[in-house]
Amino acid sequence: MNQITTSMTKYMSDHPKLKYIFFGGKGGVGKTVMAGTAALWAAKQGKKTLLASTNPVHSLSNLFEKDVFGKAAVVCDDDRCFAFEIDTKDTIERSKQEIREKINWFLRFADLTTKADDFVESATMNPAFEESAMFENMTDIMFEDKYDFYVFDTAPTANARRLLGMSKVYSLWVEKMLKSREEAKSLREMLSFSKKNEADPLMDYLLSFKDRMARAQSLLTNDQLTAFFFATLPESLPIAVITRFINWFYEFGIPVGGVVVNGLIQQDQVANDSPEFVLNRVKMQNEHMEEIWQIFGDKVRAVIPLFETEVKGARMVNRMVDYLFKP
Amino acid sequence: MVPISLSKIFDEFPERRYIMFGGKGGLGKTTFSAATAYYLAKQGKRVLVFSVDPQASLSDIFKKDIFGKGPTEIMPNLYAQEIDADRRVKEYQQEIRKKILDMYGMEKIPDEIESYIQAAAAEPAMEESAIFDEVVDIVVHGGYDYYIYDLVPLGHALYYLSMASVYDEWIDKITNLRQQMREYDQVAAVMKRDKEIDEDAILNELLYIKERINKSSGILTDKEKTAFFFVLTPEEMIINDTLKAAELFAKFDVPLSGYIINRVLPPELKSQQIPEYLKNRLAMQDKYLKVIDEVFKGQILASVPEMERDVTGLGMIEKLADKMFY
Repeated sequence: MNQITTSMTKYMSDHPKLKYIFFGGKGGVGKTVMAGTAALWAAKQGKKTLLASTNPVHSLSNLFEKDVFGKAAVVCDDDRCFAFEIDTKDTIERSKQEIREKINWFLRFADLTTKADDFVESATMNPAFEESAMFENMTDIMFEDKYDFYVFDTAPTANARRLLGMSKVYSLWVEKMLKSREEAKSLREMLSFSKKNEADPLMDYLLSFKDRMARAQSLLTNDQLTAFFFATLPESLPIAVITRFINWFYEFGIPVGGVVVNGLIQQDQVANDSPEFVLNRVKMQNEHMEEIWQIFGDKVRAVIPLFETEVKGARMVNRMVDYLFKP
Repeated sequence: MVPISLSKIFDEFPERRYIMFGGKGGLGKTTFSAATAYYLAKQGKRVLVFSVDPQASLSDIFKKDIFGKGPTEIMPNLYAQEIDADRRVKEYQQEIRKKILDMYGMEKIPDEIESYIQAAAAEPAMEESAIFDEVVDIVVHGGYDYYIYDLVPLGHALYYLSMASVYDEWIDKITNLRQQMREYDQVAAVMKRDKEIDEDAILNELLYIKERINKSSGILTDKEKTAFFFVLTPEEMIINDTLKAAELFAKFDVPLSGYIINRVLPPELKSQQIPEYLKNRLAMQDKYLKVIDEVFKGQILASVPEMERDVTGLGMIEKLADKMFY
């Protein structure tokens, strides 16, 4: 097989409830541009759309030539299309504050005079903290439900897989914590003569956290609501990378929407007397296209031509819509 | 402008033995790592090129499955390694199980504890410390003239670099807390003689980790021993991102040796019958090559042409190395 059976457009109409889409792939294959294009398309369908970047090095501001760092802003003529680069520092500060309050409450609860600061510092300096803060941020945006459609310009996929894998682990942890909290609480009630059954904000937090995680997981693994798309070039390394990624995602039960091939040199621009350099690159691309059809087959959703300049600015992105979403 | 030669840098600073390529994803860092390893190995140096990136592509580039196999000989003097963090994490889990079994004289790990151990393995911090441990092992172990780090994409590289100092601080904090706790415990110490010995063992372990971290992060920021090269391409967004990243790297005191431009279209194409897309690309590149010349004045070490096909296999790696080092 060497043609698209289910195009991007068809996939979208087959999944009318689709609400969360993600783009993954090796660096430099055009993930950000694809994400931008998908967001513009969704806005054109009349959906209020948010394009969010969770990548540690953002490039949305650069793509749309507008500062969207730390705040969502409209990025095109269509006022339904918003872009947003998540500011991690901000999230981390907020999470730190939350944790500090909870630890302080706990210390008072346990009649300890120790200061919380040291604990907070050592807990939040843990390098994994930033990663989970990002994940929380993403789920926050999803739960707020202020938009009809969400496009995430994902961090390099290994990270995304790990983040999603984490939601299972989170619920496991929280269950354990809840159990020991229950035990501690009943022990305390047994020991205290005067106090009645008092409120336990820490327990409430754990419970709500567990709910959030379960909710995030159910959204992210629902193939009617969510789809992960993978972008590649007709070159060997990006193909190898997404082949690995797609297998990981199947393992986690995360819905794979399909593959988008970017940067294909247009045959009609090439003649037999074109320079050796051009003919060789075309030959290489043809070999890799064979490979792509063979590996991904009916998962290929679109093949996008190599543009004569880099894709930048809302107008260029707009032009891409017709290619990614061929009628 | 004719760039300063990259090979000259290697000749002039033979003590710079730790080589790193940084830059946005997809610009050719791994390929450059492989080609540099090839060049140095041909000069008779013993070289290890290794990858800590779970998206690693050294296997694809050398056309040989090296993932998780330790240092693998590619050709005389050239060794390549892809770190399998998952395996290291499994080893940690095994160690923990063994310790529990030994300590409590159990025959089998209780299910409850087992699920804790399983859950801990999926913590991202676990994977990170596994990667970190592997890198420290490699560097501390020695045995090569050159070490080439195939760094992860930019944001992650920064993260990785900052991690060294974060871990350091973190361990300091924990060590302090432990020391304080030991003071509180002193009264009861006589009664809990065995336990006190255990606590000391933990403290010693933390100090050991700290020493290893200092050693490896020391190398990352050592101007004498480390060469850090930035890879970029003549495109506007890439130039902007590179500037942003270079600033951040400077903050971490990473010694920048210079910039290498990749994917430069051969200028002789201009005089030939070429397709429209290529004409426009050439014009665009010309524009941004000028920008690069101005912005990174005097710091460009090489300008590497776009190859006519992708760089995989030793034959293409040799071709690329010839273009990089002249």
